[in-house]
Amino acid sequence: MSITVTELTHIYSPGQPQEQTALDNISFRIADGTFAGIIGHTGSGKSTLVQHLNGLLKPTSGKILVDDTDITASGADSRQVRRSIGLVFQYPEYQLFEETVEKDVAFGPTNLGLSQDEISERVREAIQLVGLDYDAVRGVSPFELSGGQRRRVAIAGVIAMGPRVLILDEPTAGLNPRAHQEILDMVDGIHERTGNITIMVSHNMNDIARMTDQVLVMERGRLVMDGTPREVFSHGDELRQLGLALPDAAEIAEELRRAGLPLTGSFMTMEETADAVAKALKK
Amino acid sequence: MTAFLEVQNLVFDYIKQDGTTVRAINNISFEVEQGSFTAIIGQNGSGKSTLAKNINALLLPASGRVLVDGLDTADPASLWEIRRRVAMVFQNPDNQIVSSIVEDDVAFGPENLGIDPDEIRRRVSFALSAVEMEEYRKKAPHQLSGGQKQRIAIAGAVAMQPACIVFDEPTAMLDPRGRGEVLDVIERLNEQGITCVLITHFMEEAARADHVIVLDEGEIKMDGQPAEIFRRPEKLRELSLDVPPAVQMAHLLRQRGIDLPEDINGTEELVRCLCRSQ
Repeated sequence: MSITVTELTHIYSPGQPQEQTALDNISFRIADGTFAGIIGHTGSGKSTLVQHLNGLLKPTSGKILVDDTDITASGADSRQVRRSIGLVFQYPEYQLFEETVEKDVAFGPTNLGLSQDEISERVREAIQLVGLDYDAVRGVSPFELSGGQRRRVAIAGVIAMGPRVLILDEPTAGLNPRAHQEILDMVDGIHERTGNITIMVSHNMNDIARMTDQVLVMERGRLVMDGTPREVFSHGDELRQLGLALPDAAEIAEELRRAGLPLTGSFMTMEETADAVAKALKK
Repeated sequence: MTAFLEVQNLVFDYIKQDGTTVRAINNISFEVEQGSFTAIIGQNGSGKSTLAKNINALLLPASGRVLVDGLDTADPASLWEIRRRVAMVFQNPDNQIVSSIVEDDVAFGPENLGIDPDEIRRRVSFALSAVEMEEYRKKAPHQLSGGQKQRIAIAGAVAMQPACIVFDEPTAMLDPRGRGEVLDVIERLNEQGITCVLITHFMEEAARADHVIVLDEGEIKMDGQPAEIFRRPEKLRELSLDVPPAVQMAHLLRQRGIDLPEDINGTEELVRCLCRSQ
Protein backbone atom coordinates (compact mmCIF):
# COMPACT_ATOMS: atom_id res chain seq x y z
CA MET A 1 0.00 0.00 0.00
CA SER A 2 1.28 3.50 -0.80
CA ILE A 3 -0.11 7.00 -0.32
CA THR A 4 0.24 9.68 -2.99
CA VAL A 5 -0.94 13.21 -2.22
CA THR A 6 -1.18 15.62 -5.15
CA GLU A 7 -1.68 19.40 -4.90
CA LEU A 8 -3.85 19.10 -1.80
CA THR A 9 -5.46 22.34 -0.65
CA HIS A 10 -7.95 22.88 2.16
CA ILE A 11 -9.59 26.23 2.86
CA TYR A 12 -11.65 26.62 6.04
CA SER A 13 -14.76 28.86 5.75
CA PRO A 14 -14.20 29.84 2.10
CA GLY A 15 -15.70 33.20 1.18
CA GLN A 16 -16.20 34.16 4.85
CA PRO A 17 -14.25 36.84 6.72
CA GLN A 18 -12.49 34.10 8.75
CA GLU A 19 -11.39 32.26 5.57
CA GLN A 20 -8.15 30.42 6.22
CA THR A 21 -5.95 28.29 3.99
CA ALA A 22 -5.07 25.36 6.25
CA LEU A 23 -3.35 23.28 3.55
CA ASP A 24 -1.73 24.99 0.61
CA ASN A 25 -0.94 22.90 -2.48
CA ILE A 26 0.73 19.93 -0.80
CA SER A 27 2.26 17.02 -2.74
CA PHE A 28 4.21 14.02 -1.40
CA ARG A 29 4.39 10.25 -1.60
CA ILE A 30 4.75 7.68 1.18
CA ALA A 31 5.95 4.30 -0.08
CA ASP A 32 4.75 0.94 1.23
CA GLY A 33 6.14 -0.03 4.65
CA THR A 34 7.49 3.45 5.41
CA PHE A 35 7.51 4.94 8.92
CA ALA A 36 6.83 8.63 8.24
CA GLY A 37 7.00 11.51 10.71
CA ILE A 38 5.18 14.85 10.43
CA ILE A 39 6.63 17.84 12.30
CA GLY A 40 5.73 21.52 12.47
CA HIS A 41 4.56 23.70 15.30
CA THR A 42 1.00 24.10 16.53
CA GLY A 43 -1.21 25.54 13.79
CA SER A 44 1.05 24.48 10.91
CA GLY A 45 -1.62 22.16 9.45
CA LYS A 46 -0.40 18.76 10.70
CA SER A 47 -3.74 17.67 12.17
CA THR A 48 -5.70 18.99 9.17
CA LEU A 49 -3.43 16.95 6.91
CA VAL A 50 -3.85 13.67 8.78
CA GLN A 51 -7.62 14.14 8.91
CA HIS A 52 -7.59 14.25 5.10
CA LEU A 53 -5.56 11.07 4.92
CA ASN A 54 -8.37 9.03 6.46
CA GLY A 55 -11.21 10.86 4.76
CA LEU A 56 -12.48 12.81 7.78
CA LEU A 57 -11.99 16.05 5.86
CA LYS A 58 -12.49 16.57 2.12
CA PRO A 59 -10.02 18.80 0.30
CA THR A 60 -11.01 22.04 -1.41
CA SER A 61 -8.86 20.82 -4.31
CA GLY A 62 -6.23 18.18 -5.04
CA LYS A 63 -6.36 14.45 -4.51
CA ILE A 64 -5.11 11.56 -2.38
CA LEU A 65 -4.43 8.16 -3.90
CA VAL A 66 -4.23 5.17 -1.58
CA ASP A 67 -2.67 2.59 -3.88
CA ASP A 68 -4.74 3.32 -7.00
CA THR A 69 -7.94 4.43 -5.28
CA ASP A 70 -8.73 8.15 -5.15
CA ILE A 71 -10.19 8.58 -1.65
CA THR A 72 -11.14 12.19 -2.39
CA ALA A 73 -13.30 11.31 -5.41
CA SER A 74 -16.99 12.14 -5.00
CA GLY A 75 -18.07 8.50 -5.17
CA ALA A 76 -15.41 7.25 -2.73
CA ASP A 77 -16.58 4.91 0.01
CA SER A 78 -15.51 6.93 3.06
CA ARG A 79 -16.40 4.08 5.45
CA GLN A 80 -14.01 1.81 3.59
CA VAL A 81 -11.33 4.53 3.73
CA ARG A 82 -11.69 4.99 7.49
CA ARG A 83 -11.56 1.25 7.99
CA SER A 84 -8.30 0.85 6.08
CA ILE A 85 -6.63 4.00 7.45
CA GLY A 86 -6.71 4.10 11.24
CA LEU A 87 -6.29 7.49 12.91
CA VAL A 88 -5.38 7.76 16.60
CA PHE A 89 -6.21 11.29 17.78
CA GLN A 90 -4.34 13.27 20.42
CA TYR A 91 -5.30 12.16 23.94
CA PRO A 92 -7.33 9.24 22.51
CA GLU A 93 -8.04 7.96 26.04
CA TYR A 94 -10.58 10.79 26.43
CA GLN A 95 -12.72 8.88 23.94
CA LEU A 96 -12.97 5.69 26.01
CA PHE A 97 -16.50 5.21 27.26
CA GLU A 98 -17.37 1.52 27.73
CA GLU A 99 -17.51 -0.24 31.09
CA THR A 100 -14.80 -2.78 30.25
CA VAL A 101 -11.63 -2.73 28.18
CA GLU A 102 -12.92 -5.58 26.04
CA LYS A 103 -16.19 -3.80 25.20
CA ASP A 104 -14.41 -0.59 24.37
CA VAL A 105 -11.99 -2.23 21.95
CA ALA A 106 -14.87 -4.24 20.43
CA PHE A 107 -16.96 -1.13 19.68
CA GLY A 108 -15.48 -0.47 16.22
CA PRO A 109 -15.37 -4.06 14.95
CA THR A 110 -18.96 -4.60 16.16
CA ASN A 111 -20.07 -1.71 13.98
CA LEU A 112 -18.36 -3.34 11.01
CA GLY A 113 -20.93 -6.12 11.24
CA LEU A 114 -18.39 -8.90 11.81
CA SER A 115 -19.23 -12.26 13.37
CA GLN A 116 -18.92 -12.60 17.14
CA ASP A 117 -15.93 -14.97 16.77
CA GLU A 118 -14.15 -12.60 14.42
CA ILE A 119 -14.76 -9.68 16.80
CA SER A 120 -13.42 -11.59 19.81
CA GLU A 121 -10.37 -12.66 17.87
CA ARG A 122 -9.60 -9.12 16.69
CA VAL A 123 -10.09 -7.68 20.17
CA ARG A 124 -7.74 -10.23 21.70
CA GLU A 125 -5.09 -9.60 19.04
CA ALA A 126 -5.34 -5.81 19.31
CA ILE A 127 -5.06 -5.84 23.11
CA GLN A 128 -2.01 -8.10 22.88
CA LEU A 129 -0.46 -6.00 20.13
CA VAL A 130 -0.55 -2.87 22.32
CA GLY A 131 1.30 -4.79 25.02
CA LEU A 132 -1.48 -5.39 27.54
CA ASP A 133 -2.26 -8.72 29.22
CA TYR A 134 -5.59 -9.70 27.62
CA ASP A 135 -6.81 -11.92 30.45
CA ALA A 136 -5.84 -9.41 33.12
CA VAL A 137 -7.42 -6.30 31.57
CA ARG A 138 -10.39 -7.53 29.51
CA GLY A 139 -12.94 -7.19 32.31
CA VAL A 140 -11.44 -4.10 33.93
CA SER A 141 -12.94 -0.62 33.55
CA PRO A 142 -10.65 1.53 31.38
CA PHE A 143 -10.92 4.22 34.05
CA GLU A 144 -9.12 2.08 36.62
CA LEU A 145 -6.01 1.90 34.44
CA SER A 146 -3.02 4.28 34.42
CA GLY A 147 -2.83 7.05 31.81
CA GLY A 148 -0.35 5.12 29.67
CA GLN A 149 -2.48 1.95 29.82
CA ARG A 150 -5.66 3.86 28.94
CA ARG A 151 -3.90 5.25 25.89
CA ARG A 152 -2.94 1.70 24.84
CA VAL A 153 -6.58 0.62 25.11
CA ALA A 154 -7.62 3.52 22.89
CA ILE A 155 -4.98 2.58 20.32
CA ALA A 156 -6.12 -1.05 20.48
CA GLY A 157 -9.61 0.17 19.54
CA VAL A 158 -8.21 1.60 16.30
CA ILE A 159 -6.06 -1.47 15.59
CA ALA A 160 -9.03 -3.79 16.05
CA MET A 161 -10.56 -2.17 12.95
CA GLY A 162 -7.79 -3.89 10.98
CA PRO A 163 -6.35 -0.76 9.35
CA ARG A 164 -3.64 -1.06 6.70
CA VAL A 165 -2.18 2.33 7.57
CA LEU A 166 -1.83 3.57 11.15
CA ILE A 167 -1.68 7.32 11.81
CA LEU A 168 -0.90 8.59 15.32
CA ASP A 169 -1.30 12.27 16.21
CA GLU A 170 1.19 12.96 19.03
CA PRO A 171 0.82 9.55 20.67
CA THR A 172 3.04 10.43 23.66
CA ALA A 173 1.65 13.89 24.55
CA GLY A 174 1.36 14.34 28.30
CA LEU A 175 3.03 11.05 29.26
CA ASN A 176 5.97 10.72 31.65
CA PRO A 177 9.35 9.40 30.42
CA ARG A 178 8.65 5.73 31.14
CA ALA A 179 5.17 5.68 29.57
CA HIS A 180 6.51 7.78 26.68
CA GLN A 181 9.17 5.20 25.88
CA GLU A 182 6.75 2.30 26.33
CA ILE A 183 4.26 3.77 23.86
CA LEU A 184 7.03 4.39 21.32
CA ASP A 185 8.34 0.84 21.70
CA MET A 186 4.79 -0.35 21.16
CA VAL A 187 4.38 1.77 18.00
CA ASP A 188 7.73 0.48 16.70
CA GLY A 189 6.66 -3.10 17.45
CA ILE A 190 3.34 -2.70 15.63
CA HIS A 191 5.13 -1.18 12.63
CA GLU A 192 7.58 -4.08 12.51
CA ARG A 193 4.96 -6.78 13.00
CA THR A 194 2.48 -5.47 10.44
CA GLY A 195 4.92 -3.96 7.92
CA ASN A 196 2.25 -1.31 7.21
CA ILE A 197 2.76 2.39 6.64
CA THR A 198 2.91 4.18 10.00
CA ILE A 199 2.58 7.97 10.21
CA MET A 200 3.39 9.77 13.46
CA VAL A 201 2.85 13.46 14.21
CA SER A 202 5.26 14.56 16.92
CA HIS A 203 6.97 17.53 18.55
CA ASN A 204 9.78 15.33 19.82
CA MET A 205 12.69 15.55 17.39
CA ASN A 206 14.64 12.80 19.16
CA ASP A 207 11.81 10.33 18.52
CA ILE A 208 11.43 11.49 14.91
CA ALA A 209 15.18 11.14 14.29
CA ARG A 210 15.36 7.70 15.84
CA MET A 211 12.19 6.08 14.50
CA THR A 212 11.24 7.42 11.08
CA ASP A 213 12.40 6.79 7.48
CA GLN A 214 10.81 9.94 6.07
CA VAL A 215 10.08 13.33 7.62
CA LEU A 216 7.52 15.87 6.36
CA VAL A 217 7.90 19.41 7.71
CA MET A 218 4.80 21.63 7.74
CA GLU A 219 4.69 25.41 8.10
CA ARG A 220 1.57 27.61 7.69
CA GLY A 221 -0.22 24.94 5.70
CA ARG A 222 2.66 24.32 3.31
CA LEU A 223 4.98 21.33 3.06
CA VAL A 224 8.42 22.94 3.36
CA MET A 225 10.69 19.87 3.61
CA ASP A 226 10.37 16.19 2.73
CA GLY A 227 13.30 13.81 3.16
CA THR A 228 15.07 11.33 5.41
CA PRO A 229 15.62 12.50 9.01
CA ARG A 230 19.31 12.97 8.22
CA GLU A 231 18.53 15.21 5.26
CA VAL A 232 15.87 17.22 7.06
CA PHE A 233 17.86 17.74 10.27
CA SER A 234 20.92 18.88 8.30
CA HIS A 235 18.94 22.12 7.69
CA GLY A 236 19.35 23.38 11.26
CA ASP A 237 19.12 27.09 10.47
CA GLU A 238 15.96 26.73 8.37
CA LEU A 239 14.26 24.56 11.00
CA ARG A 240 15.09 27.08 13.70
CA GLN A 241 13.55 29.85 11.61
CA LEU A 242 10.37 27.76 11.58
CA GLY A 243 10.53 27.62 15.38
CA LEU A 244 11.52 23.94 15.37
CA ALA A 245 14.38 22.32 17.23
CA LEU A 246 16.92 19.69 16.22
CA PRO A 247 17.35 16.33 17.94
CA ASP A 248 19.42 16.78 21.14
CA ALA A 249 22.35 14.95 19.53
CA ALA A 250 22.43 17.40 16.60
CA GLU A 251 21.79 20.42 18.84
CA ILE A 252 24.79 19.62 21.06
CA ALA A 253 27.00 18.87 18.03
CA GLU A 254 26.08 22.23 16.52
CA GLU A 255 26.93 24.14 19.72
CA LEU A 256 30.30 22.41 19.85
CA ARG A 257 30.96 23.10 16.19
CA ARG A 258 30.16 26.77 16.75
CA ALA A 259 32.67 26.83 19.61
CA GLY A 260 35.36 25.55 17.24
CA LEU A 261 35.30 21.77 17.54
CA PRO A 262 35.80 20.24 14.06
CA LEU A 263 32.72 18.00 13.67
CA THR A 264 31.41 17.11 10.22
CA GLY A 265 28.20 15.44 9.15
CA SER A 266 24.81 15.31 10.84
CA PHE A 267 24.02 13.51 14.07
CA MET A 268 20.84 11.65 14.93
CA THR A 269 21.75 9.81 18.14
CA MET A 270 23.71 10.81 21.25
CA GLU A 271 26.13 7.92 20.65
CA GLU A 272 26.97 9.22 17.16
CA THR A 273 27.74 12.66 18.56
CA ALA A 274 29.78 11.24 21.45
CA ASP A 275 31.86 9.12 19.04
CA ALA A 276 32.54 12.10 16.77
CA VAL A 277 33.43 14.39 19.69
CA ALA A 278 35.80 11.80 21.18
CA LYS A 279 37.47 11.41 17.81
CA ALA A 280 37.81 15.17 17.27
CA LEU A 281 39.31 15.70 20.73
CA LYS A 282 41.84 12.91 20.41
CA LYS A 283 43.26 14.28 17.14
CA MET B 1 16.73 31.81 55.23
CA THR B 2 13.26 31.03 56.51
CA ALA B 3 11.12 28.10 55.48
CA PHE B 4 7.83 29.01 53.81
CA LEU B 5 6.62 25.41 53.62
CA GLU B 6 7.40 22.75 56.18
CA VAL B 7 6.29 19.21 55.44
CA GLN B 8 6.82 17.01 58.49
CA ASN B 9 6.41 13.22 58.33
CA LEU B 10 3.51 13.58 55.90
CA VAL B 11 1.44 10.46 55.27
CA PHE B 12 -1.54 10.44 52.89
CA ASP B 13 -3.85 7.50 52.07
CA TYR B 14 -6.45 7.25 49.33
CA ILE B 15 -9.47 5.09 50.04
CA LYS B 16 -10.52 2.97 47.06
CA GLN B 17 -14.12 2.08 46.19
CA ASP B 18 -13.78 -1.36 47.79
CA GLY B 19 -12.72 0.26 51.07
CA THR B 20 -9.03 -0.65 50.91
CA THR B 21 -6.48 2.12 51.33
CA VAL B 22 -3.56 2.98 49.10
CA ARG B 23 -0.65 4.87 50.63
CA ALA B 24 0.12 7.69 48.18
CA ILE B 25 2.59 9.57 50.41
CA ASN B 26 4.67 7.61 52.85
CA ASN B 27 6.24 9.64 55.64
CA ILE B 28 8.04 12.43 53.85
CA SER B 29 9.67 15.55 55.26
CA PHE B 30 11.21 18.57 53.54
CA GLU B 31 11.24 22.36 53.60
CA VAL B 32 10.80 24.96 50.89
CA GLU B 33 12.63 28.24 51.51
CA GLN B 34 10.84 31.55 51.18
CA GLY B 35 11.42 32.91 47.66
CA SER B 36 12.96 29.71 46.30
CA PHE B 37 12.19 27.75 43.15
CA THR B 38 11.69 24.08 44.01
CA ALA B 39 11.01 21.35 41.46
CA ILE B 40 9.31 18.10 42.46
CA ILE B 41 9.88 15.36 39.91
CA GLY B 42 8.75 11.78 39.68
CA GLN B 43 6.92 9.53 37.28
CA ASN B 44 3.12 9.16 37.18
CA GLY B 45 1.85 7.58 40.36
CA SER B 46 4.88 8.74 42.38
CA GLY B 47 2.64 10.90 44.57
CA LYS B 48 3.69 14.32 43.29
CA SER B 49 0.20 15.65 42.53
CA THR B 50 -1.10 14.31 45.84
CA LEU B 51 1.72 16.16 47.54
CA ALA B 52 0.83 19.37 45.68
CA LYS B 53 -2.78 19.15 46.88
CA ASN B 54 -1.58 18.66 50.46
CA ILE B 55 0.34 21.94 50.24
CA ASN B 56 -2.73 24.17 49.97
CA ALA B 57 -5.07 22.04 52.05
CA LEU B 58 -7.07 20.59 49.14
CA LEU B 59 -6.09 17.31 50.81
CA LEU B 60 -5.28 16.85 54.49
CA PRO B 61 -2.61 14.55 55.96
CA ALA B 62 -3.53 11.14 57.41
CA SER B 63 -0.67 11.82 59.79
CA GLY B 64 2.20 14.30 60.02
CA ARG B 65 1.89 18.03 59.42
CA VAL B 66 2.08 20.56 56.62
CA LEU B 67 2.86 24.12 57.71
CA VAL B 68 2.34 26.99 55.27
CA ASP B 69 3.99 30.17 56.48
CA GLY B 70 3.63 28.69 59.96
CA LEU B 71 -0.08 27.83 59.55
CA ASP B 72 -1.13 24.20 59.97
CA THR B 73 -3.24 22.93 57.01
CA ALA B 74 -5.18 20.67 59.39
CA ASP B 75 -6.53 23.69 61.30
CA PRO B 76 -9.88 24.66 59.67
CA ALA B 77 -9.50 28.22 60.97
CA SER B 78 -6.37 28.67 58.81
CA LEU B 79 -7.89 27.34 55.61
CA TRP B 80 -8.64 30.65 53.89
CA GLU B 81 -5.36 32.21 54.99
CA ILE B 82 -3.49 29.24 53.49
CA ARG B 83 -5.40 29.37 50.20
CA ARG B 84 -4.74 33.12 50.05
CA ARG B 85 -1.01 32.52 50.40
CA VAL B 86 -0.73 29.51 48.08
CA ALA B 87 -2.29 29.54 44.60
CA MET B 88 -2.36 26.53 42.29
CA VAL B 89 -2.05 26.15 38.53
CA PHE B 90 -3.05 22.81 37.01
CA GLN B 91 -2.14 20.80 33.94
CA ASN B 92 -5.01 21.53 31.58
CA PRO B 93 -5.56 25.26 30.92
CA ASP B 94 -9.00 24.56 29.43
CA ASN B 95 -10.22 23.31 32.80
CA GLN B 96 -9.12 26.45 34.62
CA ILE B 97 -10.56 29.19 32.47
CA VAL B 98 -14.08 30.28 33.38
CA SER B 99 -14.76 33.50 31.45
CA SER B 100 -15.15 34.29 27.76
CA ILE B 101 -12.87 37.35 27.94
CA VAL B 102 -9.27 37.14 29.14
CA GLU B 103 -9.38 40.08 31.56
CA ASP B 104 -12.64 38.85 33.14
CA ASP B 105 -11.02 35.51 33.73
CA VAL B 106 -8.01 37.03 35.47
CA ALA B 107 -10.37 39.21 37.58
CA PHE B 108 -12.46 36.24 38.68
CA GLY B 109 -10.44 35.41 41.81
CA PRO B 110 -10.02 38.94 43.17
CA GLU B 111 -13.74 39.66 42.51
CA ASN B 112 -14.60 36.76 44.76
CA LEU B 113 -12.46 38.27 47.49
CA GLY B 114 -14.72 41.36 47.35
CA ILE B 115 -11.88 43.69 46.42
CA ASP B 116 -12.47 47.28 45.29
CA PRO B 117 -12.92 47.51 41.44
CA ASP B 118 -10.02 49.97 41.01
CA GLU B 119 -7.74 47.63 42.87
CA ILE B 120 -8.99 44.70 40.76
CA ARG B 121 -8.14 46.63 37.59
CA ARG B 122 -4.65 47.32 38.91
CA ARG B 123 -4.14 43.67 39.81
CA VAL B 124 -5.39 42.41 36.44
CA SER B 125 -3.03 44.76 34.59
CA PHE B 126 -0.13 43.73 36.79
CA ALA B 127 -0.91 40.02 36.41
CA LEU B 128 -1.28 40.22 32.61
CA SER B 129 1.98 42.10 32.28
CA ALA B 130 3.72 39.56 34.55
CA VAL B 131 2.83 36.82 32.05
CA GLU B 132 3.36 39.13 29.01
CA MET B 133 -0.24 38.88 27.82
CA GLU B 134 -1.40 42.54 28.12
CA GLU B 135 -2.26 42.85 24.43
CA TYR B 136 -4.63 39.88 24.72
CA ARG B 137 -6.74 41.27 27.54
CA LYS B 138 -9.89 41.73 25.40
CA LYS B 139 -9.49 38.43 23.50
CA ALA B 140 -11.51 35.26 23.98
CA PRO B 141 -9.45 32.47 25.61
CA HIS B 142 -10.42 29.96 22.89
CA GLN B 143 -8.54 32.10 20.34
CA LEU B 144 -5.28 31.59 22.23
CA SER B 145 -2.64 28.87 21.92
CA GLY B 146 -2.17 26.32 24.72
CA GLY B 147 0.87 28.18 26.09
CA GLN B 148 -1.03 31.49 26.06
CA LYS B 149 -4.03 29.93 27.82
CA GLN B 150 -1.77 28.51 30.49
CA ARG B 151 -0.22 31.98 30.97
CA ILE B 152 -3.77 33.35 31.48
CA ALA B 153 -4.38 30.67 34.11
CA ILE B 154 -1.12 31.75 35.79
CA ALA B 155 -2.21 35.42 35.60
CA GLY B 156 -5.39 34.38 37.43
CA ALA B 157 -3.20 32.99 40.21
CA VAL B 158 -0.91 36.06 40.25
CA ALA B 159 -3.94 38.38 40.59
CA MET B 160 -4.64 36.75 43.96
CA GLN B 161 -1.23 38.09 45.09
CA PRO B 162 -0.12 34.82 46.64
CA ALA B 163 3.22 34.37 48.37
CA CYS B 164 3.60 30.99 46.70
CA ILE B 165 2.34 29.33 43.51
CA VAL B 166 2.24 25.55 43.13
CA PHE B 167 2.36 24.54 39.45
CA ASP B 168 1.09 20.98 38.94
CA GLU B 169 2.56 19.85 35.59
CA PRO B 170 1.66 23.13 33.88
CA THR B 171 3.52 22.25 30.67
CA ALA B 172 2.49 18.61 30.21
CA MET B 173 -0.08 19.40 27.52
CA LEU B 174 1.89 22.11 25.70
CA ASP B 175 4.11 22.05 22.62
CA PRO B 176 7.83 22.95 23.00
CA ARG B 177 7.22 26.64 22.33
CA GLY B 178 4.38 26.81 24.88
CA ARG B 179 6.52 24.99 27.44
CA GLY B 180 9.34 27.50 26.98
CA GLU B 181 6.93 30.44 27.43
CA VAL B 182 5.45 29.03 30.63
CA LEU B 183 8.85 28.20 32.12
CA ASP B 184 10.09 31.74 31.40
CA VAL B 185 7.03 33.13 33.20
CA ILE B 186 7.63 30.89 36.22
CA GLU B 187 11.26 32.03 36.43
CA ARG B 188 10.25 35.67 36.21
CA LEU B 189 7.63 35.34 38.95
CA ASN B 190 10.24 33.67 41.12
CA GLU B 191 12.65 36.58 40.50
CA GLN B 192 9.87 38.90 41.71
CA GLY B 193 9.89 37.04 45.02
CA ILE B 194 7.09 34.50 44.63
CA THR B 195 7.98 31.10 46.08
CA CYS B 196 7.51 28.64 43.20
CA VAL B 197 6.91 24.91 43.50
CA LEU B 198 6.94 23.18 40.11
CA ILE B 199 5.68 19.62 39.77
CA THR B 200 7.00 18.18 36.53
CA HIS B 201 8.37 15.13 34.79
CA PHE B 202 10.56 17.15 32.44
CA MET B 203 14.16 17.07 33.63
CA GLU B 204 15.23 20.13 31.66
CA GLU B 205 12.60 22.09 33.63
CA ALA B 206 13.82 20.75 36.96
CA ALA B 207 17.36 21.80 35.91
CA ARG B 208 16.21 25.45 36.13
CA ALA B 209 15.11 25.20 39.80
CA ASP B 210 17.36 25.85 42.85
CA HIS B 211 16.15 22.78 44.68
CA VAL B 212 15.00 19.41 43.31
CA ILE B 213 13.03 16.73 45.15
CA VAL B 214 12.66 13.34 43.46
CA LEU B 215 9.59 11.35 44.52
CA ASP B 216 8.96 7.69 43.84
CA GLU B 217 6.25 5.47 45.29
CA GLY B 218 5.30 8.19 47.74
CA GLU B 219 8.81 8.55 49.17
CA ILE B 220 11.59 11.07 48.67
CA LYS B 221 14.39 9.28 46.84
CA MET B 222 16.64 12.27 46.17
CA ASP B 223 16.75 15.83 47.50
CA GLY B 224 19.29 18.50 46.60
CA GLN B 225 20.50 21.05 44.07
CA PRO B 226 20.06 20.11 40.39
CA ALA B 227 23.79 19.38 39.97
CA GLU B 228 23.74 16.96 42.91
CA ILE B 229 20.73 15.14 41.46
CA PHE B 230 22.04 14.90 37.89
CA ARG B 231 25.38 13.57 39.07
CA ARG B 232 23.66 10.20 39.55
CA PRO B 233 22.18 9.23 36.16
CA GLU B 234 22.00 5.52 37.08
CA LYS B 235 19.88 6.32 40.12
CA LEU B 236 17.55 8.51 38.00
CA ARG B 237 17.19 5.84 35.35
CA GLU B 238 16.32 3.35 38.09
CA LEU B 239 13.46 5.73 39.00
CA SER B 240 12.40 5.87 35.29
CA LEU B 241 13.49 9.48 34.92
CA ASP B 242 15.65 10.96 32.20
CA VAL B 243 18.71 13.11 32.66
CA PRO B 244 19.04 16.35 30.64
CA PRO B 245 20.73 15.86 27.24
CA ALA B 246 23.99 17.62 28.23
CA VAL B 247 24.32 15.40 31.32
CA GLN B 248 23.72 12.32 29.17
CA MET B 249 26.32 13.50 26.63
CA ALA B 250 28.89 14.16 29.39
CA HIS B 251 28.29 10.63 30.65
CA LEU B 252 28.81 9.13 27.16
CA LEU B 253 32.01 11.17 26.70
CA ARG B 254 33.43 10.03 30.04
CA GLN B 255 32.80 6.44 28.91
CA ARG B 256 34.90 7.29 25.84
CA GLY B 257 37.82 8.37 28.02
CA ILE B 258 37.23 12.13 28.05
CA ASP B 259 37.88 13.83 31.35
CA LEU B 260 34.95 16.06 32.38
CA PRO B 261 33.93 17.60 35.71
CA GLU B 262 31.02 16.01 37.58
CA ASP B 263 28.74 19.04 37.76
CA ILE B 264 27.72 19.63 34.13
CA ASN B 265 23.97 20.43 33.93
CA GLY B 266 23.59 22.29 30.66
CA THR B 267 24.93 22.45 27.12
CA GLU B 268 26.72 25.76 27.76
CA GLU B 269 28.85 24.24 30.53
CA LEU B 270 29.57 21.17 28.41
CA VAL B 271 30.72 23.33 25.49
CA ARG B 272 32.88 25.45 27.80
CA CYS B 273 34.60 22.39 29.32
CA LEU B 274 35.20 20.62 26.01
CA CYS B 275 36.36 23.62 24.03
CA ARG B 276 38.64 24.84 26.84
CA SER B 277 40.48 21.53 26.83
CA GLN B 278 41.16 22.04 23.11
